[in-house]
Amino acid sequence: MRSIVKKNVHEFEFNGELDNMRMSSIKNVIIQLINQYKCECVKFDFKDVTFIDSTGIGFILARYNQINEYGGELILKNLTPHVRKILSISGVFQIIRVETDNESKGVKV
Amino acid sequence: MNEMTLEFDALLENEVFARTSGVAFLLPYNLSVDELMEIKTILAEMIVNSIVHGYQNSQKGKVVLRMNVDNEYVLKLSVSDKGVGISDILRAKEPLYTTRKDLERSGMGFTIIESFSDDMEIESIVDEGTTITIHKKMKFYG
Repeated sequence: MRSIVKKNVHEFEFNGELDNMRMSSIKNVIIQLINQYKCECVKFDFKDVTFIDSTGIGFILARYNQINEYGGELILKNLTPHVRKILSISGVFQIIRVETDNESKGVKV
Repeated sequence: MNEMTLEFDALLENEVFARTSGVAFLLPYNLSVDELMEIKTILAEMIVNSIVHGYQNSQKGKVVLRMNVDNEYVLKLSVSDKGVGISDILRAKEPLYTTRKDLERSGMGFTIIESFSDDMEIESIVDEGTTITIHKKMKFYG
């Protein structure tokens, strides 16, 4: 997991299998980092994520609430097909925005 | 008919072991990546349920994983524990319902298991334990 802060955008890059054990080992660090910077925009990048389950969904929803509380926005990006499927079943897209291809290419909309 | 049983301690680190072993058991059947990912997710959800809810993260008790594939390539997969059991199964199945908001559980476990399998059965007795069984017809690419 990498955390990069640039111009009020806080980006987290996840990798590998985001299972129960992994989430419990990185959860507290992420909660702390988000609270430390309180960036307007927090992005979760799933480019290198090969597995996620309901534990990961619980984590995403809880961070959405954490970020919402101080008035920030959580945006998801680079969803792999498996991640997209699990998030879709869980209805995550009804409340959390996914970065579009244009946005990630830097095109202003 | 091909069958396997795996019994392991209800430790969080064993979830990876059991989930991966379950997937490895199915490798000779040449499943598509999509099917394998679905089964892997079902395994993760069921095993985490037993460890986190059945045994309440006590790290005590055994979880049993059983898998068999019949001649029609129907997979039967079950996970059993002798944990606290589920007092209200219908409630537990509701999307987003969880007894452990404190642990940031999403309450989506059963919904995910159900959507990736052909049928799901929950047998549970309070204070005695829970067995979840699913069936899933596999596409055989031989």
